[in-house]
Amino acid sequence: MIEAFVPEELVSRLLAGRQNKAVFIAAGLGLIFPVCECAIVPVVRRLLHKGVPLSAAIAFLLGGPIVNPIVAGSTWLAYRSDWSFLGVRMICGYTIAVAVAFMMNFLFRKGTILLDEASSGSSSACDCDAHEHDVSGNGKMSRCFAAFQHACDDFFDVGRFLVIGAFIAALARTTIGVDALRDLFASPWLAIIMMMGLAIALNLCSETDAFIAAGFRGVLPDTAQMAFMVLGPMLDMKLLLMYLTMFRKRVIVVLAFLTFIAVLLSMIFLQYGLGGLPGGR
Amino acid sequence: MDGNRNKISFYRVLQSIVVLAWIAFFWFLFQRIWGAPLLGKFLRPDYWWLVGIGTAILVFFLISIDCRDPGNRGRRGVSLLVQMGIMILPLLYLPTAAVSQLSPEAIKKRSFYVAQAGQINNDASRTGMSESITIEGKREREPKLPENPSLLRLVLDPDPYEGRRVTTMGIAYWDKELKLPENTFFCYQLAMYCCAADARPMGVLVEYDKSKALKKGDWVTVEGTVGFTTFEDQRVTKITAEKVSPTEPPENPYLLP
Repeated sequence: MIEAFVPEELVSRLLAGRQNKAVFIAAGLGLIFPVCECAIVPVVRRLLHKGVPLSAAIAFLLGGPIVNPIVAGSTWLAYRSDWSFLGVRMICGYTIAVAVAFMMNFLFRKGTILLDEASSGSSSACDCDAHEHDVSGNGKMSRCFAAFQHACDDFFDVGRFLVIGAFIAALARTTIGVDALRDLFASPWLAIIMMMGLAIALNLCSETDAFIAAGFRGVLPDTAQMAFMVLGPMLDMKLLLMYLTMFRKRVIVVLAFLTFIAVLLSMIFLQYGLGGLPGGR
Repeated sequence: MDGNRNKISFYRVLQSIVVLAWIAFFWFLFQRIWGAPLLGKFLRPDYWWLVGIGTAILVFFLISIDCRDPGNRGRRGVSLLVQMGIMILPLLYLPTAAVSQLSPEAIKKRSFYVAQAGQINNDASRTGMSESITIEGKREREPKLPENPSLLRLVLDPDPYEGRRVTTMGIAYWDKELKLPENTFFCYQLAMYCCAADARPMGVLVEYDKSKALKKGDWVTVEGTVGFTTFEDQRVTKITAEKVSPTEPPENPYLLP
């Protein structure tokens, strides 16, 4: 729909001279367009090719799967109306998305971050040549038709990585004993790191991961559960594979590293600086 | 030129086959296998509309592939075959998935939840059991509690059943690693919040002198009296069983909180 209905000129006009402001808006855009981390990758691909600044796209990519009403609802239910978990998850998700987006913007320029076929002058995000890309002058029906053609291409381009990621997730779910790991979490910082590792390995959907994290309530520090819920939607095995359809490999490495460190430092600060989640029961 | 046209056709034919296979897969999910909709094995049955929307979108994909400009080319060669192969791979799992269930060993990898006393009243309210709870949180005994409560009800709101005789059903499980008390097994069902990936075992402890004689993973009916005990420093629900008998699995084996 973005490819077929949103003119590049409109995006350019809206964002002209407002790059920093766009980052702050994009990180919270999930409130209006609630999508989980799997669905957000093709959306971000399209946005990038419509001229959305790199920093804003990264902010939406990282913040969108957390700062959205569905995730907020599932977190609220899983933690039985505990507002501290909901609030901290939303705030951390938003803040980390903004911070990493600015850092990525500082380190890279758009031309060096995207794959060649993705960063070409074409208005399309695909390299297929299998359908008509310029539909700006056509009628609504033609645009709808073009939207489905683009969506179909995304289904095939991103879907293969989603399938591989789902396979890894299934493997992890049946081989990693979550309960058995509890005895290893001797100290809060170790628990935080282990839960971050678990988030990457389990590849859970951001809309349901709170129910898994809540299972550790009373067993692990709140900050370790929060680390699981904040990092998972931003970085896991399946997402890393899906990023391959969009970013260069070194960019993925830097993005993963920055995200991991940002989440780790945030949780360490919450645990040792504030003594746990603010307002936690 | 002709060769190029053949490649184009091959690309479109392969895409069409994959999309058609996915449409057939989604359609198959709506079918009943041995009395239960297959959909329920993967997703909450009340999320059927998601599969419906997915099917409709795939039909539009199929039409869009069919109407493509034949003069354009798509992905080719090994890359094309690998892409299509990966996309078709999950569908090959369907025949196995239709008849299989998670083994006790796979269940063990998921986090067990043992019902606790007076903990989850908010969940209870979501499942239509709020009539027994006042605004102040003070419990008023229901005049008539079901004698055969579902395991979900016992898990979410066990307090009203304290001291009562009940009959419920679930899967029997015991293991040294669980460190259960002597002569006790865990009677559980998988609770599904969204899809099978997030399902986790939820249940109650059952004190039964022949616990070790039960086969792990078998469905059982438990008749006994509800009480509470301390397990891993928490006050959890326990049924002191008078009778435990094997039973057939229910139509939908999942608990749906």
